[in-house]
Amino acid sequence: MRFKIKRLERSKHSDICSSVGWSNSGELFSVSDDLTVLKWDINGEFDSKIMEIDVPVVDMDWLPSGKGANEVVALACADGSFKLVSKAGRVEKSISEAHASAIISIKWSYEGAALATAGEDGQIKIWSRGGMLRSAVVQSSKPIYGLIWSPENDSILYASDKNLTIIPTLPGNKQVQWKAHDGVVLGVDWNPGNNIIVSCGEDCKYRVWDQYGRQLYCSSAYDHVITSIKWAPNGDYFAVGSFEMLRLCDKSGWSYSFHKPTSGSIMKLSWSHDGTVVSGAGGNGSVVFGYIVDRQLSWAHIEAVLDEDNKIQVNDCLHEMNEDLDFRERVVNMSMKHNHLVVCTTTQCYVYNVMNWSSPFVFDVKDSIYLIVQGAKYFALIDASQNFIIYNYEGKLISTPKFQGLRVEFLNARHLSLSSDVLAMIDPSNPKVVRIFDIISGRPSNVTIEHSTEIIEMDVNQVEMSSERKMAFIDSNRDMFLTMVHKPEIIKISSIVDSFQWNDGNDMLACIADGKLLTWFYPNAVYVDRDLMTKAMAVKDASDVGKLAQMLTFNGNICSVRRLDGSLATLSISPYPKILYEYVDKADFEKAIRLCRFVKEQTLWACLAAMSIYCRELNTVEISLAAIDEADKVQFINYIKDLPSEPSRNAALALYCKKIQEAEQILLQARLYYRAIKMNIKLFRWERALDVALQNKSHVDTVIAYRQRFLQQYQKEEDIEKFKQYSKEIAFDWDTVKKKIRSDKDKEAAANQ
Amino acid sequence: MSYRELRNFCEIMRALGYHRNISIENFKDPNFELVADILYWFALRYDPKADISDDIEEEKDRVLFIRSVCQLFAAKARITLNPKKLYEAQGFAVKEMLKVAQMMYKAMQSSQTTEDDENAGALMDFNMSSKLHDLKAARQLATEITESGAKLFDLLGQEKDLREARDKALEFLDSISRNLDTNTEQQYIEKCIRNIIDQQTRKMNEMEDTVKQLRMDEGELDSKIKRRKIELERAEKRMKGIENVKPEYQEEYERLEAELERFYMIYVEKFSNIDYLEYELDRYNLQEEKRRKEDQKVIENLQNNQRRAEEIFNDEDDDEANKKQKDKLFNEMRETRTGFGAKGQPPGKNGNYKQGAHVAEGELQPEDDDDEDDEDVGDDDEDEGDDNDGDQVDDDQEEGSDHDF
Repeated sequence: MRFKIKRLERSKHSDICSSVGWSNSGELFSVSDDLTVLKWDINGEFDSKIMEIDVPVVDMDWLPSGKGANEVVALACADGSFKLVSKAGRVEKSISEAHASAIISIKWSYEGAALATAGEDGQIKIWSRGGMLRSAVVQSSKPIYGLIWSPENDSILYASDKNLTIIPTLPGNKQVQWKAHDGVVLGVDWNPGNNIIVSCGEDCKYRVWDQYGRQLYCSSAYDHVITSIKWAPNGDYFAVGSFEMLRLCDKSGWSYSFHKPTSGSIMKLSWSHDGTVVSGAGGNGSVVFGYIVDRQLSWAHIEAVLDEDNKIQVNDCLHEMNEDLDFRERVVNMSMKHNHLVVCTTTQCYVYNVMNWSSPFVFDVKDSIYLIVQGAKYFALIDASQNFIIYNYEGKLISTPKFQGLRVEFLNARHLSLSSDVLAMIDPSNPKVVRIFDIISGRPSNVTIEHSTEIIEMDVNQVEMSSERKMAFIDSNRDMFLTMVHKPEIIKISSIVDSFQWNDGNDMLACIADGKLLTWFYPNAVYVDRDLMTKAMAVKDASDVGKLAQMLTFNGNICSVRRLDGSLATLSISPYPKILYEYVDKADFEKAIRLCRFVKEQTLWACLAAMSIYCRELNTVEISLAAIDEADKVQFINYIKDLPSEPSRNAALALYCKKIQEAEQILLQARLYYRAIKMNIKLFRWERALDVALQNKSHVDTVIAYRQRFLQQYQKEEDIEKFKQYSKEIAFDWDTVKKKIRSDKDKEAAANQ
Repeated sequence: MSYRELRNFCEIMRALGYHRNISIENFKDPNFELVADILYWFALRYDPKADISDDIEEEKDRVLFIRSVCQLFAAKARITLNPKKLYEAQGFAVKEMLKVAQMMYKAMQSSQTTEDDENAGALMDFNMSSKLHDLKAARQLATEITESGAKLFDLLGQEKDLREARDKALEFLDSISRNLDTNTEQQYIEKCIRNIIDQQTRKMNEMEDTVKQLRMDEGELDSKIKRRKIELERAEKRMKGIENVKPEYQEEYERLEAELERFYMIYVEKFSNIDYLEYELDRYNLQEEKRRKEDQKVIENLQNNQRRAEEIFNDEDDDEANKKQKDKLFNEMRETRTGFGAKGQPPGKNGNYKQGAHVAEGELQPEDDDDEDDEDVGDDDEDEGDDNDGDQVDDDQEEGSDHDF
């Protein structure tokens, strides 16, 4: 990825250009010390002069777009005043003497309700939307060079001297401060999507921090002071500006590309809302536009490269085919997964099948798309005007999920996941909660998955069967959890996880944890037999990918991993589980067993065992469990096989899966009361056994008899009230009890013959 | 001081290429070293020949430094800096320095925009050549300025005289304008003009006279030239006539000349012969000397032998043996006598010897064989031989002259 730089030869501003800002409608406004405000279009062409001001402007910020709100920009002036100006250039409000000296930084909160200003006088003040002073948050002696709201709008991060400080706007919370740079910190930005902070300073470095002030990356020292730094709205990359330098950096810090616009220092940077264009305010008065080009996507054997801003080159390595896709407009966003390439230009969306590059499905989009999330059958588009729409691959609109307080501009690809039936989304306002939506209707489903700590990454598997829909997520402690989507049951499966990925085609789950590549070949095993889950897992040393590596794709048996320094690494796992999946999907257990015998691997046998238990294929279960030396389990399977009726077998299998409730349910539905009672007795659930017996008015004496025998064996006194009561009322006789049991069993056997 | 100024200053300094990064907070506290360094850099950048000491060790040095910098910029760039603020070296100093920085930055920008060139290196080169062009133009302009200055000076020098005339004229004009009704001024002007016309007509007549005079002179000169030309022609004709006449004594003169030539040749021949003969004579004398010495030796030997023989004679009685010994001695003596006896030998034998010697030597003048034979023949009587030789030469001369001419 790199920028394509565009800059007018003769700069329109006659003096230093101090700030730039993209309006919500995709126009760039620039302010300069020559006391003018100019408007530019997205192609980097000068549009018009908006207005003249009486004092030099230092910083500007557009009110974040809300539905129906008119567009207002806040201009911070060098004399300590600030102005609210409409898009047409009319001064709506002018607050003089807001600060004692120049306002250096001005920022709207994300919901647009408050405006924070930071001045050379070392104060930060918060103003209401109408320009009324609400509070002075910070009063220090040193000038504050930059500030930014936290994603939750409840605190402000500011840069002063060599430090970064997060200060809560409401009393009661703790302030966090750390030394960030060896020189004065000049710029700071905090991405609400991924919660990562970047800063730059006079030590000629830029650094990346997490929200607690832990350093994630530190650049090398460059020739000049780094004057500006800005996240792209999607949080995947950021731009760094310095004297005659513009860099495009990945979110982990390493830089994609380096450019030398002849523009003097880049005083301020601003990204367009779709995250494809960055513009910088040049110290010599020029306005620099950087268009992201050379974006590369690869999926399986296909590679797509955005050559120019309206031309995509597709390269199919397997069939040795090259295709050039030309578009009329600038490509804003593109994504390729699940056999489909989705390309969004400024007005249209093209959906290509990888088998057929000549006839895409095309439909119009209203606004520029800044996020594409793909699932196996559907994909979701999020545009700059905060529409969130799900389409299928034929280009048909399916639904528009909505809920109260949805702020889609905070979403990124790791917050959203689409499968063939549900959409899962980390709630931006409460990251401990994952919301589930039905794709077809677009309505929230009645389950939400709640976790005790903040969830930072979440993904849903892509299998067809909705009953096997599982979700994996990582919380802020870097622990990884697995849960069924429709019946939430959160199980921790690993810790110190850097990143994970579901396989594109089947149910395999891979993660990088503590320098190892862990692959669960059959994560479903966790709901079948947890012992098998750990056995059906491959551990491979991946210490060479280093810390904090990001898994990009998991396709077939290949994982591609982006290391912290930006290089791509490819890790491979055994190819056999994939073949095994294919056989089991076709219910071809003969071949599956033959494959396992050929490979002779414990993991594969364990995998097959779990799969066959799930499919209730007891013969296969027996063979595969025997192969992994699980004698006790083989015994139980044999016992199950001998059971006379289908319901009792199912119940036994459920019991094997440690689903007692389910087992009891099955037995009671089949009116096998004795078995239900006996099961409870075996599990020492005496009260439940008695309840069942009483409810169904059978085998009460059996329960009492067994209880008595148990008490005698352990030489205990009766301590359960109910039993005390019933043992007095009901007498029992072992002969009659035995006879009754025999007759019940015979009845069951007879019924199934 | 304000944030904006500091920021702009940092930015401008970066653009100007100042060698260190200036922090936005560098001037929060007095920082004289940095201010001094920046000012020194400015001064050198503005005028590389500026003579400013960069010594800021002591207070008076600092004051001197600031003053000299201020003077430099005031004199050369017409930028007034506040030395007190500069000396404070705080934010206000930035304001002062910003004046200079902005001037330099604008200069840089304007040159950039005219060049319209991205490449900085090429820009520099291009600048140099264009500056060279400018240099020539500037020099020319400088000389023009001095010239016109000198002219102006001269004119101003004449002002003293001119003023009187001008005053007069002004007075006159005033009087005209004052007395429009009277005619005196007009009459005066008429008179003046008439005077001028008279003068001119007089001058014209004089000129006509001189022209007439000159015409006459011209005619005279023409006739003179004609005369001279005729004379020249005549002289040339005579010269040709004289050239064609041949003098009668010429033939004789030529003949004599040829004769003289021949005689000279003969003379040369003779001279060389004489020279040769003298040389031969010298050699001969030399050989004679040698031979005489050898003879002397032999004689001494003989005397010795004789003495010995006498001794033997006295000792022995055998006659025969003595006789044989004697014979041997005599034979020996005879042989030696014939070996070197040149004067005593008959002339024929002598001539043979001569002949041989001559052959050995005679390669130099092989054509003169006959003459030498003659000379050798007449060796005994030298006078006769000489005469004979002279005759022969004469004969030869007579014959040779015919041949030569």
